[in-house]
Amino acid sequence: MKHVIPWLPLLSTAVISLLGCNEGLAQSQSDAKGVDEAGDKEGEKVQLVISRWAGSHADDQAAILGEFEKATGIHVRMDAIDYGQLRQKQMLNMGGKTGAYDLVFAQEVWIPEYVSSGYLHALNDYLSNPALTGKDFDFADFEQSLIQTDTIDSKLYGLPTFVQTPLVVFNKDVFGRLGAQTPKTWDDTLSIASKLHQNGTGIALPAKEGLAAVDVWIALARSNNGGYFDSAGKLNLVTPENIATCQFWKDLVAVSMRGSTNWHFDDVNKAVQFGQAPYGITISGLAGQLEDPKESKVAGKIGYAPLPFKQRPFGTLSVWSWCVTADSKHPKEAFRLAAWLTSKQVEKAMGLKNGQVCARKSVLADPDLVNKAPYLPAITESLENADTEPRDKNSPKLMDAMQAALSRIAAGGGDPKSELESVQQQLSNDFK
Amino acid sequence: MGTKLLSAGLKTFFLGGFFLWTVVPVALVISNSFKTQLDIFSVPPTVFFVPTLENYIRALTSGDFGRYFLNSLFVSATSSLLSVGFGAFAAYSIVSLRPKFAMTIANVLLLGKLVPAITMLLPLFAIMNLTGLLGTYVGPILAHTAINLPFVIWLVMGFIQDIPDDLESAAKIDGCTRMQIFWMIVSPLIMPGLAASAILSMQYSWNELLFSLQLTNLDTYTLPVGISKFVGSISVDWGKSSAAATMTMVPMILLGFFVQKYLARGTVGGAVKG
Amino acid sequence: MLSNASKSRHDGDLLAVVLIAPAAAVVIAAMLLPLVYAFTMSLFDFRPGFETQGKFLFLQNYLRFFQDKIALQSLLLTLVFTFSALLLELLLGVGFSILLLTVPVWVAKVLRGVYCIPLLISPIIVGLIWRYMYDPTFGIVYFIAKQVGCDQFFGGLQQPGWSMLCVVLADVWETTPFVMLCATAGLAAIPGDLYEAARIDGAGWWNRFLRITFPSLRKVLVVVLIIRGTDAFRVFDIIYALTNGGPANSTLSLSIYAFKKGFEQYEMGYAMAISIIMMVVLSLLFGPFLRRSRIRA
Repeated sequence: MKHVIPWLPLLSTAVISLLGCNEGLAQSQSDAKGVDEAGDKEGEKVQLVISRWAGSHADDQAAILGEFEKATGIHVRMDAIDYGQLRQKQMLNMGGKTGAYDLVFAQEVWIPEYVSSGYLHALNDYLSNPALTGKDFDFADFEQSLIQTDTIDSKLYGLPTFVQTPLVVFNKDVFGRLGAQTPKTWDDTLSIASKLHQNGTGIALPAKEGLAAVDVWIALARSNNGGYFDSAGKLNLVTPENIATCQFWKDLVAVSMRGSTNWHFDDVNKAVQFGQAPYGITISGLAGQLEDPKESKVAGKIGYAPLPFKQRPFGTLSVWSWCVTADSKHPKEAFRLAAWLTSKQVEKAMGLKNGQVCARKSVLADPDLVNKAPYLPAITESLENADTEPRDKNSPKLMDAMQAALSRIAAGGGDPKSELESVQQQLSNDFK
Repeated sequence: MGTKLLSAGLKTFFLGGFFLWTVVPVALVISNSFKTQLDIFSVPPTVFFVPTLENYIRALTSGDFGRYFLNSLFVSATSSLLSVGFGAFAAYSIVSLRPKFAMTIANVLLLGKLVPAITMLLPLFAIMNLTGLLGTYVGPILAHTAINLPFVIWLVMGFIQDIPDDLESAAKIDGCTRMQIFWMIVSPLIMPGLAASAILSMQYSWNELLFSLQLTNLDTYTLPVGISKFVGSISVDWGKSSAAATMTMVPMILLGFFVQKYLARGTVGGAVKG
Repeated sequence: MLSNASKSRHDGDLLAVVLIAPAAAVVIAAMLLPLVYAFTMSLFDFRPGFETQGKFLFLQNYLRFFQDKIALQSLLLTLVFTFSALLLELLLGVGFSILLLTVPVWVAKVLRGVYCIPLLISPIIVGLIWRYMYDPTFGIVYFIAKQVGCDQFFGGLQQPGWSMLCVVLADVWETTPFVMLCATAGLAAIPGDLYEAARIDGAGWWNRFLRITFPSLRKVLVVVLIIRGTDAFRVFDIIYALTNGGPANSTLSLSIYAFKKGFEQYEMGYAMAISIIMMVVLSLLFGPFLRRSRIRA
């Protein structure tokens, strides 16, 4: 009989697990029915759940959500998870109509897919309602190109807020010693990087097989009047301009810092932040870390510039927006939250906190912010002529093929012309 | 005499080398958890540094770490108990009781092992959604148990097969029921197999990410989900993630040492000479 | 007599079914139903969330796999990874578990406890720490390589070919303890007097290994081979964390390829077909081992 005793826990856990099923549910329900005198007139307190990627930006945002609750009585919970799992979780929940999320943070390239799958709620009706948008909303203050990015078939699906663009960073001291100026063109870039490479370092590139490399490449290509499509909108990769861009990328990798072919933006940023790399291409969202005196060895020493160009300056732009889900149980309140998060006061506060770049023209020009974030002018300059990656239905395939091609050119000794030809051929069926 | 020295020397070399190979990366994680970012990324790596507890403090306060820990405990304990329990019963059934098509059943169970996680995710999500159990503990527990069962069953089957027939026949003649045979004779003899299954199931569940993240919600997230929050957004917070990882590691390491007792238990016929 | 025997057989079958039922229920619900779902879905072309609106393709997704250069390359890479990792893990895991038997028990316990640590660490962190160690600027691997003078030669995670080696090593580090634990359990079941008798008979250590250890260990090893082999074939986490399939798709395992196709390029039907093909290959590779382990007659 004593041998049976160790097995009793099994039976009890079976019972407990059935009971425990409800534990998770009960907790979230009890949060919704929280005791609050200042609650809505409906009697039951509204709770919103928002989905975004985790990190210091998320933490900063979570910290200010309390103010929203004080002002409106709506309780907000932030579900910030690993970026790598974010889209899956959003898609699974919106596709399964679970109602788990009221607001989702979505990248511009995800939005067309979300809209065509019916996951998102159109926001046009809410925009004209001052009770929901708040008094000082000033819709015209948004960067209109970003609003356009979130608009499909004249319906707005998201409020843009977090703007990202690749940026060149360099150590002013090191450049000073070399007698180098702020690099502007492809030739500047190559010559400075070669000199640095001879001295043992080089330019830190995000040349890992991934989207970072493609985002940088397309800006370079467009600055050379190249690009994915021809004027008729057909896929046309094998052009002299594109080949030249690939060749430039290949040459740049040849004088890059060791390790670049497995570096994403944050690895490049680290290399610059800790003084290993005197020159690099990083992304604007990470620039704040370079200026933090507690975390960075090079705070105050970094110069910022847009990506180098061949014929005319061009940048790549990526924007994250708050979108209301179609299966949300409280779309109006969700919109209210989105409007609050993208309001002038909140965006300025976030900008002052961690230097993030928002989509509001007035905030970007605010002198307080410019003082705090020395990279803002370079970002604003990058955004003057910038475009996103294509938001076409088949662009994920294009992105994937380009990632592999660029990686082969960088690390596998691939030939620019034949790599472009192979991508063109791979996708010829999809982009008729 | 010489060969004895040589063999002792070789043994030390291999065991010591493997020790270093195992320990150095772990030591890196643990030491990073006590370093500031500047120290983590200095070149050459700093061996002597001023330790800081700030990573631990930030990791513990910035997340719902306490809740994650309890959730992890519940999910892992439940799923490994279920895996070992159901698995042992099933293994005994297949080997000793031999229902019809025993081998087919065993093979079908192993077929489950071939299913990639992605393939499981979509349908499992749909099932959980339909039954309203999404966001509860049921999702991860079910997934973890299902993933561990084939392995547990096959491992324990091997151990049961090794038990000499005469023991069971003798017990049957003495009038024991099959379940009594299971409790009193079989279980003690397969203890090493059960122990190995238990710890392997537990550690799999404790460290699993995909199902623990996708089938749960804010209230039921486990420790790996917490760790993943520090890793893999646009940038990795090395200090916090190392601290979170170290805290997650410690219970499992303690469990590992504890379970060893059962792994080396002697069997019928004498103990293994140590 | 006869009725007694058949009655007990009947009871036995009932008990057998009862004992298997819970395990079977879990596996059917969580693994086999999804398998059926996956196969059904692989016959369509659909996007996630749009299950009912797919185009019926019959076996086209499967044909596509064999014409897809990247898919075939991925298959080859996955096989290379599986064989290399499995071989190293078996050698090291079994080797060290046997070696630990020859040292004092307390030493063995401590060492074994330490050796098992990699298994107990979350795969995310394993990926992270190896990424950190392989970094040319900050990593310890290059630091050591520089001391030995071959840091220019070592390709690390940056070059195709080398990247596969590095990924295999990281996986070996992480999973050898699994093999070692199972082997230890298996070794514990071998009675000590067998060894004693053999030693008295004058058998050397190799003979003892061949005649006593190996035959008894074989059953455990087959289980480990199948389990570890199928896990290695389906590798995802460690490669995703270290290289995301690159550089130049040189570490693109089939699982990662299926994931990319499904969740990044919204071709769920094709992703399911890839999963099914993976299962078929696994059955072909490891099926023979299954049939060999017969149930005791």
